[in-house]
Amino acid sequence: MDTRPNIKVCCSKNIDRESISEILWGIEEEEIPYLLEILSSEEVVKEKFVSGTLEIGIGVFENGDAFLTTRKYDKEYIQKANVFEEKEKLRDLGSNGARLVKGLPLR
Amino acid sequence: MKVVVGVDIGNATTEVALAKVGNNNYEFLSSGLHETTGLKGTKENVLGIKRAIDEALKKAGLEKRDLSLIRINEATPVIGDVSMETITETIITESTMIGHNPSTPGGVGLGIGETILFQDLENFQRDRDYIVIIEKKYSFLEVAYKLNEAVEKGCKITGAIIQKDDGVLINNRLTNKIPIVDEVNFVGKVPTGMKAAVEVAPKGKIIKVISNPYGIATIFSLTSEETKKIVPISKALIGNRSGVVIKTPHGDVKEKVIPAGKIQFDGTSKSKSVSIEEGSGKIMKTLSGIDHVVDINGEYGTNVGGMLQKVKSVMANFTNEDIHNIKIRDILAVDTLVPQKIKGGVAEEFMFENAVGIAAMVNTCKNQMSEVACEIEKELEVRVEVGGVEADMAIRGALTTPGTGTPLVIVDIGAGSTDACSIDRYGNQDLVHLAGAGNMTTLLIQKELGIEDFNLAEDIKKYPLAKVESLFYIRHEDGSVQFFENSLSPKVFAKNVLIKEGELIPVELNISLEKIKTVRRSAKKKVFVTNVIRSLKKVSHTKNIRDFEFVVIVGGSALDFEISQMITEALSEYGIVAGCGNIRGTEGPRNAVATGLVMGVECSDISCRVYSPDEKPIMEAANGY
Repeated sequence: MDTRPNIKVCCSKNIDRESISEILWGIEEEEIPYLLEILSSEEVVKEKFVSGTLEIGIGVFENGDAFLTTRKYDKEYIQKANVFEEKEKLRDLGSNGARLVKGLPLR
Repeated sequence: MKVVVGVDIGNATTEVALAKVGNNNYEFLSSGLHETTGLKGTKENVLGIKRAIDEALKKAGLEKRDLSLIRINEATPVIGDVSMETITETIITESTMIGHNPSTPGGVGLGIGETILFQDLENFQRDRDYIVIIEKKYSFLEVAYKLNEAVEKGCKITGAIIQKDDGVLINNRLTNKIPIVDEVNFVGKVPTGMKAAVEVAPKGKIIKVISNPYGIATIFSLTSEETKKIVPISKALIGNRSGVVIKTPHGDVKEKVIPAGKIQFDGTSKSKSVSIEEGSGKIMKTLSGIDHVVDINGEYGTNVGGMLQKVKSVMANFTNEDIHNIKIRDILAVDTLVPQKIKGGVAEEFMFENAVGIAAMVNTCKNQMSEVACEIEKELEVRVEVGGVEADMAIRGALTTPGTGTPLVIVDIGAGSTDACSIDRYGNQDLVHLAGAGNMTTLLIQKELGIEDFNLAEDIKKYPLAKVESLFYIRHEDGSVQFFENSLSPKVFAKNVLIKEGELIPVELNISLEKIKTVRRSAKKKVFVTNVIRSLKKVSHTKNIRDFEFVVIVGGSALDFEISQMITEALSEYGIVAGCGNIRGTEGPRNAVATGLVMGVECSDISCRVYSPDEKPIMEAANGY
């Protein structure tokens, strides 16, 4: 397990890398490191993408839904966007992941 | 024993006190409170009165038919209004600057060069340094690629001004790192072909060169005369993490004083006028130099003139009196600094400009209460009488606060005016209405924080602040931490919030909690504390605050979470016992006049006993003071 502080982005193998670029750029603009994991055999589940040291993660499911959440947050997600249908929301989703780390208001 | 109800119709609330009266004794049974319906002193008040009485009757287990008498207050209508005059203004002509705090600018350092549009970069000249202006239609990948390509070809790029929030993304992909100011909304306004300086400070630091007039003078080789002119630019850039200054050949910046009009004070023996731009100190000094103010007017055609005229016309309409008979007797002027957009700025920059806030108050002798009394009598079929003098009733009620005595002053801070009534050790009473109260405080908060919504400013005035530090806890403004079992909404995450009746209301302002708190407290101090001291001087025959030993703060404003402490603190310097009233030992600061009205029944030379609802005597109040 990678112990460096980062936002974990777990993506289903059925989603192409291009579709989630905006999410990653959102995190990059806020200057927080991320770790991208493409899950080849396992399913994307919350436990998996909030398992990083920062406990903040983004899961991109097979149907294109991207969930931003934290390990302790008790609802399904903090923010949700579909990588195919809501491209304009993806940069903010990534950025908000980083803003949760930085303690800044979400966009 | 008769059942009597005292009704106090205030600007905001209608309060009632229900008691059994007989054999010179008062047995208070219950109290009621309802929002005042309609403008105070009009027939519309009846609905609110009815509901407040119903509430009190229900609590006491009585019926309407048990009532023998309703006593209402003889309040004179008081109307207040406020206005704000900005007296300085900064205008930038031709020369331009951008000063703002994007959350993530790119790179670090100072770049100096000629401004060029991104699309024109191919036409660069090798002997020049360039600052590139990039519109939002270009993706950061394309921008980074082309900037790298241009640098390879020999173009010297020293900085960039971009419209989108892409500063870090671009910088991460550049071979030659440059300072980048991003999120510049009006990038199209930035002139091209002009010498410019872009500065980005490291994280946690602020720009140093272009916020220093000599720094700008060094970059643009300015003369001493030219340096004087750019002082407002450097002033506006102080405290920013990034900024841009562009000098055009005939650039100029002006900081000018706006003529805001004059206020004319007419007294019985003399008249004086003062310009608003001379500041609140001079205005209030001029006012205090006039013994008996007969009327106050503002210069025709100016904002202050309009505001003072409006207050008069509202009162004239309300009382059906000729506007010429309506006189303004008091104003309160307060100096303040308000953020104003700089004319000619590119990124909606603002500068703190000097302003003067003015509150005016007008009251009339004409009393509308007899009409209201007739209406209540008709509606409730109970005898109604208009009670004695307002000050008398308020004092009677306030004296039921345990621990009080004479000489005493009661201060009631409302929305439009601050009212004070006093009784000295010989039983002499006095009453004053002063301009400036809750609305003035809200206006100061609104203007100083640059808020458009008056209601938000009102909430900031009323409710304490906290910062949502995580999805599970908040830190209150006093530093204490509150944990929540269920996670908070992400909408309030990392925001400053108001704790309004248990709910967290986000304050959508890019201003720190400390700053909001400071502005709120200073606005309250400037209005409430100033007015309490002013009122004490006015009701004292010797103009000496120390004439009084007790000050009781009553009315809705006394319920504010910090006003009474601020006043207590300020007056403790004069050796005065000041605090929030506790009418009848049970009602807190509410119900003073309503209680006084009940106690005013057949009161001439009697002593009265006040009972709590459980019939236990709690205090004795001397009534024949």
